Amino acid sequence: MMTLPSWRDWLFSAKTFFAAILALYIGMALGLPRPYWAMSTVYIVSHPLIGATRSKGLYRVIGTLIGGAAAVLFVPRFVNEPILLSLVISLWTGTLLCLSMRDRTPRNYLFMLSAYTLPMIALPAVSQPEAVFDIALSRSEEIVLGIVCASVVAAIVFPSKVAPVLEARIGAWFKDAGNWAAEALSPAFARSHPATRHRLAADILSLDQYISHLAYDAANADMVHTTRELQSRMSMLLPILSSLTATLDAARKLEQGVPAPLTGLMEAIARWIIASQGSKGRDEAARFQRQLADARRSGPDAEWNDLLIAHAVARLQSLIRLWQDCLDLRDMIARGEADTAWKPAYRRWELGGKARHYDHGMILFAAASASLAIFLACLLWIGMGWNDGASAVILGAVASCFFAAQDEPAPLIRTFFTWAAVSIPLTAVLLFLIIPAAHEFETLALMLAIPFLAIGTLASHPRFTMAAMLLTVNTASFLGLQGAYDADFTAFFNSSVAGVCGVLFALCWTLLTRPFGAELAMRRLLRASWKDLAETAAGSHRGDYAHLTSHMLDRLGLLVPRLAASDDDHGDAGFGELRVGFSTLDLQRDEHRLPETAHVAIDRVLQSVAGHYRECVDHHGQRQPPASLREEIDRALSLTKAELGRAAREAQNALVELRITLFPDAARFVALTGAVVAAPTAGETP
Amino acid sequence: MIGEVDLYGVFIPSLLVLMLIALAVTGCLRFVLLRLGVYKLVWHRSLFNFALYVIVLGGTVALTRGLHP
Repeated sequence: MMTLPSWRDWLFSAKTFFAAILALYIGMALGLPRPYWAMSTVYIVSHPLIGATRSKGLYRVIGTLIGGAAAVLFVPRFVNEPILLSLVISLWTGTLLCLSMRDRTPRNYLFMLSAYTLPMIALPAVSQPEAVFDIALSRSEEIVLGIVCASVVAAIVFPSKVAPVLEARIGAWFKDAGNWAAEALSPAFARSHPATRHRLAADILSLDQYISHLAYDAANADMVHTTRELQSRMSMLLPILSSLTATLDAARKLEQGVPAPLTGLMEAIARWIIASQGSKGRDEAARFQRQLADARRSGPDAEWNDLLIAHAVARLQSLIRLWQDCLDLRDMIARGEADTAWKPAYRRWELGGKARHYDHGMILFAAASASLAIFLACLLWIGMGWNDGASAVILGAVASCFFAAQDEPAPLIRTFFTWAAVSIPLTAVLLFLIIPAAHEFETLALMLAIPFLAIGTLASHPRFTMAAMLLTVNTASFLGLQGAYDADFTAFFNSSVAGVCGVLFALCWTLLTRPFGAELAMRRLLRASWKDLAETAAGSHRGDYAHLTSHMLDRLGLLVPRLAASDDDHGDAGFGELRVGFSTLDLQRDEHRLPETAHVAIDRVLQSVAGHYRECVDHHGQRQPPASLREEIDRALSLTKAELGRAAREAQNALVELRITLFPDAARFVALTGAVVAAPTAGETP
Repeated sequence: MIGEVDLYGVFIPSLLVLMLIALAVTGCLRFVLLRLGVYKLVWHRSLFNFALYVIVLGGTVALTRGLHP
């Protein structure tokens, strides 16, 4: 389905084209050797959002300077040993590619650009090593020129800011999250599609990109902190909502069910969440908190049903606090001013840790694969002695670097190949039929306007962004517009065919070395999370809560889009691990405030949880948790529910959470009698 | 205006040096204007900044004209 481009798309396309022609004109007027590089740079960095254009531009400048400096350093030293030079180039590219994948913010572009700028500058220079400085200098100049043109035009001519787009995305997210919350609270609200849950986590992760761009958006740079705060709270909502859903489901399965007053209260809360009125709803939130506190029944004689309800109530209270915080932050962002005196209502966990999950094995493998591809392409080029082979290696290197971070790079490289191939006939028509008729710069600009304006409108559609960029960039580079018209069919054909062959080589190589899809990355992610859980439960990360929570939440964000994309149903995978993780942290945090017997029992539970996940790691797959773990949980639960006070309540909730997460189908919990409780723990301290 | 600055053997066009100076001056001016709250009255922040830069650059060039005979 394809809609006609809107006026916004046309405006963006016209702006970009204007910037590109401006760059081309200045480049020609200054007598730069390859003004078309400035033109293609404009098309590479241009993004409908001004902040994104600027940040990408800055990273591109720095990356190019680093790559250019490396070329000036390496080429004169190794030019007489082509194989050694190829080795140096491929090692450089691989190393920087590693760094680039190690950074998940838009800053990774800096390293990626340094990675493939070296082959771009070094390879054309091998036949004339004394010119490498000039080539590096002119490439840097052309790229800086292109970026300056792109950012000045983007900033001055009808700028479109990141903030409104970000607000729209946050608004959509609120609606999805609100629907899930409402559905969890009361079956009266229509069931949202399970896929929205997966989308919620992925959307939070994608906010990262927007926030990084926000820092480059002159008018909104001061909102970065507030937006980060909002993002961390949004991600905390996920485990709470997931746990609330599971707890209420478990409670509804029991014959007592959920007590009627609580059902009514939850319906009111669901309505409050859907209305999302911000500060106006504050009084209502306070009233809900009081009513919830009254709805809880606990004490030594509490039954399984009461424990579930107490747990659900605690989660509801957290949910209301978090939701209130999110609304406050959203309003602050919408008003455009940060309130420094603002205090969050939710303070259970310190949020906003910056820890991110990296799969270093996969990163190393992907970088090594790309690096080896470049080395082999260089060897092939040297062996064949094809004069224009350099552009094959260059485009091959670009293709393999660009998509190295993907789980499944092959389909994307195939798209790259298709559009690079499509741009050859387009360029040929332009270069040999149309441009010869142009004698002035103005007519040239007019002639280029037709195809470039049309393709540029596609760039704002997410589906076509890459196709449009590839088409415009490749066409601009293959056109190779220079000061004087000197189109030579052989040279054009040679270099463009070589470029496409290079991409084809990268495609074949990727299909050979990285045939496994998202499945592998997903399994590795799950395994990493089990390993983390085993270590956390065993107590080796004790105390570093902000780091651990952000690590777990980040991994969920990575896992969830992959789960959604895979065919087989993994149900609650990812969310379950997250809930177990938070319960573990809860227990570790509060156990030392409990009496000795309860403390010991909880320690045994944690050891069993650690053992269970170690088992999962060793067997490379999800295992059924052992029945002995359930007995440990029951024992600890019997001991803690007899206690009073906040710490006991938190520990009790965490144990309930563990029980319903790990044993969703187990029989109801029955409190153990005093003798049974005391017996196994007597005389031993783990 | 076409003169070049000799920086340890590397010849840099003097316009580039002036542009960098103007950039630094504009940066300071923007900071001061932000503190004074002038930006609240500005409609198009980027356009304002750009115009400010061009004015400062023009001023710098005019001031240093005497140095390059």
